Amino acid sequence: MATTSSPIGVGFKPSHFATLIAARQPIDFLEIHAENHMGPGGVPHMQLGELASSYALSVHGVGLSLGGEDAPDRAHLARLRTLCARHSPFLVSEHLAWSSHGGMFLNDLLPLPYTPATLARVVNHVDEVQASLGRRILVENPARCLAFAEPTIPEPAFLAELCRRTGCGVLLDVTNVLVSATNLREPASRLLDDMLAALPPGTVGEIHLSGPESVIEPDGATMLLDTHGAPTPEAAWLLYRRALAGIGPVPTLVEWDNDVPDWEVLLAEAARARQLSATVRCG
Amino acid sequence: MRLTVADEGFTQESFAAALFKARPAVPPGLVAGTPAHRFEVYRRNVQAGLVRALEARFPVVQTLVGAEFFTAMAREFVTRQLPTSPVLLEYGRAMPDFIRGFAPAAGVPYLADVAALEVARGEAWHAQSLPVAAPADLLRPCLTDARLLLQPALGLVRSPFPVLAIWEHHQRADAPPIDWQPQSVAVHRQGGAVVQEALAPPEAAFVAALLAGETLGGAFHSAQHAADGFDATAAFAWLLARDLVVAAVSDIHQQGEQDDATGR
Repeated sequence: MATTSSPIGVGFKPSHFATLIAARQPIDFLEIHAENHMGPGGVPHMQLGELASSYALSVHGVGLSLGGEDAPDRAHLARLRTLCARHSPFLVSEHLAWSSHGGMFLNDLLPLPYTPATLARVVNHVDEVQASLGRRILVENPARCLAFAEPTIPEPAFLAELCRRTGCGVLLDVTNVLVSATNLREPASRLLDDMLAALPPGTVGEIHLSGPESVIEPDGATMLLDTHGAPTPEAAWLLYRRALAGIGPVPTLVEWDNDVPDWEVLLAEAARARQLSATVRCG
Repeated sequence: MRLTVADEGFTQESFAAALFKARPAVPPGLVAGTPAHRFEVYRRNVQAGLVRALEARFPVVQTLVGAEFFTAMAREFVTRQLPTSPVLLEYGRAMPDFIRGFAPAAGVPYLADVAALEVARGEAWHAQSLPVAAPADLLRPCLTDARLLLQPALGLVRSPFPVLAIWEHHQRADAPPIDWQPQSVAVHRQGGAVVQEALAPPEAAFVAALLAGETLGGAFHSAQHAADGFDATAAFAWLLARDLVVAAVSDIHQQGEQDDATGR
């Protein structure tokens, strides 16, 4: 089967705004962090309006706490609905994690044990979000570094069942696959293959690529931190090729949130993703 | 007595609580032998992320006290006031009040007011821009009995310190020397730029009265009593020239009409 290139995007950073507006850049979409554009108005809204006239938008949330014990914050969900109504993003995504507890926002994607009970909870939350937004969302596999004592469902099976029960899709972050596998001491290619094999066809709606930070643990082993502050490492590019070979072209995003580089550096990463996605043949 | 903490299962409650303990232990429910530094990844992320959000909102406060002091102060703030919303651009509104009560910062008495200026700048940056009142709407009898609805971006910081001069001193190398007099600062947005202007005491009293919901006549009165030399025409013209007046509202009935009009 011949492949066409995937739509390629980058995460929007305000420092790149002027470049993005001065001339149409060779990217297919921009991804914004939903919560950065949820103020009452002002300059961020004006900028987003300008960007939306030139680029397709993807909205990526970190605040819904889909894995939380509490139901999604209704006020927050209403803000997300307003944002989506204003800018008609072609993708909306969130994380398989929790970030709020007891009415407090903890500002991180905290780890969720994958059990039948948490699956039922996440299913309810995704159902509620999709009903409220009136659309399918993508749920991202998190970067993990902890394992739980209780028996857990493998992540691929958990995500697959979530997709089957809610109709949601998956945002497959191949860097998170690399990070989780490295930290939990399993081969990343196996975790990726398990994911691709488990997920129902058509559920991967987007792929994320980013650069983690490598730290040496006291026992001398390498641990990866999901910092979004570096170029995508070769190991993640290999996983990307493997994913493309398995499922064909998918909208692909280069995320770079910390130590944000010059536009040209980010663009070069996007160009590499485009080149790969145009050459890797599916199946 | 033996502690049985290790036998408890994972709960988000215990995990969340451990994120803010001064001497963290690994919370219950993780696989046996989980090293403490793995949990530390989350503890650090949570705290550092919130401190970063405050750094972004208070760059001049950070410069005034230095990064190390700011980080310690911000950590204390985070411990006392976690955000209640994932919209972090709202986080830190309470920082000026916190600084006022933060004993280690007492040696920098203007710090809280500089923080208030930075809060006002953030609010102006994110504020909605409402349609400006048409001149015809303001040419009415008894305008002085009306309350003026002002742009949501407009804020006012009144300080016994030269808060704007201090702030400007940290924006550019050629800023004028600081004259240690009280300063009141109006913060608003013009197009895509947040601007701040020092106001004389009567003008500051005028804007403060309008923001507090007094009628135009009441605000004129407040300004005249606040200090000598108030020029009512000039103060009103100042508002109009900056497109800060959204509407004049004479009573509850007209307030309703105004809401209808802006809702269209």
